[in-house]
Amino acid sequence: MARDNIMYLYDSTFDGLMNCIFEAFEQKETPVDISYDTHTLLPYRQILTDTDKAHRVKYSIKAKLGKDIYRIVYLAYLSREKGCELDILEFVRFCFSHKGNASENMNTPIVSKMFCLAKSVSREQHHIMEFLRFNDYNGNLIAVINPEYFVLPLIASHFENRFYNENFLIFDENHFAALVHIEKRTEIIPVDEFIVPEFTEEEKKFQTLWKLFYDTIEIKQRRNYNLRRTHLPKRFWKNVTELKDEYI
Amino acid sequence: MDIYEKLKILTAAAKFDVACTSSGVNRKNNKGGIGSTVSYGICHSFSGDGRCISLLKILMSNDCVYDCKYCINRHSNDIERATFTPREIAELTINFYRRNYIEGLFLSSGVYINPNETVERMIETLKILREEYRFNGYIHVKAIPNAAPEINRALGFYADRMSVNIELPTENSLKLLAPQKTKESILKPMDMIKTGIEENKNEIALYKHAPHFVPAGQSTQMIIGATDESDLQILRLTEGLYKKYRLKRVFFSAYIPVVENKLLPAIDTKPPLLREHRLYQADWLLRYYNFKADELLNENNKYFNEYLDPKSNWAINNLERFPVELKTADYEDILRVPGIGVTSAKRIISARKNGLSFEGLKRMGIVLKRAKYFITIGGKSYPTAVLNEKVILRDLVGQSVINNNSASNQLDFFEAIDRMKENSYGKR
Ligand code: SF4
Repeated sequence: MARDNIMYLYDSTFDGLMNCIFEAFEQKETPVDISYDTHTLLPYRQILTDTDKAHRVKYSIKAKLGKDIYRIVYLAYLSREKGCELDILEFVRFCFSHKGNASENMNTPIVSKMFCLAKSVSREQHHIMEFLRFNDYNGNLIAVINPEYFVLPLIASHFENRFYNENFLIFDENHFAALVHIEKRTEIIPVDEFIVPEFTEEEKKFQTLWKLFYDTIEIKQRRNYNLRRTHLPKRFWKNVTELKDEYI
Repeated sequence: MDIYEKLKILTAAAKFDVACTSSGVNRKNNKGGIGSTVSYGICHSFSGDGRCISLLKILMSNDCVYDCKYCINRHSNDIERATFTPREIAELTINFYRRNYIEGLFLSSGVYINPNETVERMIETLKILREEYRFNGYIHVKAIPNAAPEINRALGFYADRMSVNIELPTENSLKLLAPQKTKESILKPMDMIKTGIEENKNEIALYKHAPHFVPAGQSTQMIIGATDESDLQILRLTEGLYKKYRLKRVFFSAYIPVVENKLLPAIDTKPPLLREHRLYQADWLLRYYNFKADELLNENNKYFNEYLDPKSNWAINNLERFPVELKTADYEDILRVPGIGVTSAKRIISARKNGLSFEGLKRMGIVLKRAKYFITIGGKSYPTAVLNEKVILRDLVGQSVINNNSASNQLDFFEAIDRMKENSYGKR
């Protein structure tokens, strides 16, 4: 399909991206880029975010292509990788023209690319669910995470349900956003800077106890640091209570 | 004694238990409480040995009145003793859980004062957690041999998983090394748990709000290499346990010498990790591939080949069943081809209508390294692959010796697989 010499500018939300897809289908065109970065020299068209149109696109992806494809689109969007928007458009087009049979077309580059990206994002989600560590500040819980992808929306329901009666905040230092759960209400807000308070004596006590447990549970006769790094990649260590001192 | 000292002693005493999984049950938080469980389980950390840490794994007490010879906590051993109070354990669990260190608690204990007293204290611990803290996270608890059945049973109503460790695979070894335990004292609680789970299913069918008994099922553990049982004996027992007691898992633990005793391997004996690995592979074949223990090993062949995985080993001993024609073979037969797992077998069946080819198999992500010798497509075998025992052995064993000439490499591979099995997130 021809690339029309125009770029779409959207507001970086998922609904906004859905509107870009709507536009591309309606205009039967392929933009040179889809981005929310306004520092561009290319001619651009501002795509407004209309919730109604977004719903129509989402509905039609789910109804005609299936929930799995919808999930892949959503996960790929959360990767926030440069260029993912245009790939998503290409992927959605491909799926519509192949009646949703994406999994039988794994050898098509755009399909395998989207599957891989979605898998990486979902793996990152699970890593964060595993390795996130809260610190207690007089009854409130605070965690700092550094995920490669923007997984806060994916982990929200898990932590909301599990710690429903707690107040907690999860700060994503790579994406400058925080998941906040206060008085049983949850939302994700943009945060430019977050200063972590000093640990309380009580908090230090439990960190020490945990580190003690962690060091003691190892069977020294089976020591295998490579295996540990495979399962718990080093890039997470700086925010993992029991390993942060070994992070250089 | 302060809590730090206790935690250190009672963690060290529990670390040889290999089970640390939090899988098998999905439960949402109820709004007044804290915690939830997810059926695939979550590993929260990995210790220096690369093993998953999912649960706070501790003993309630190592002050044991029994005298099992292989055990570091045995009465006659001169070591430091410690005992947690129920409240100490509950507070540690909750405080670790709130910080997302763990999925829950794995509580075991030496026989403190006597079996019944031990279980009563464990019940009190779980009661504080479940009722006072309204803790909905995962709890794995050990039943204590020789405690009254109704007391062990009461424990099960607070737990997600319950286990009784067999430890030694034969009655003879038990007699020799664990004089206060008998086959009876281990199998009875196992049977109680099995019956309890079955009865509970009926109760829940009748009354929706009936309390749940061990919803994630039961498991057990056997020590490998402390006594001289063969792989065949161990595997037969494993198979029997799955059938008779409907266990969810049998864990194997390579024996690591912790005590000097003339009945036991010398203190500098290396743990038989490779053997443990082969047993896990075989266990996998029993549970998911419909293999029988007696197919994998027999009286003439009581041990697994160190250099060959049990499935390839079986295939080489049963060459007359191959090659398998992928265009027409049953699912069951495809599943028996070395190197082809459940997902691959299903993909092959569903891809048939679009035509199969060796190139196509590769594109579907099927690894042909081992499979290529044992399959044909439309009567044609894979170029360069010959269905001949000597050739296959040379290719496969040669490779594995070259690839895995150190035990630590073998272990990487095994641990990775085992973690995937127990804690996989579906297709990841
Ligand atoms: S009962 Fe036996 S195995 Fe268990 S702690 Fe006591 S001595 Fe050790």
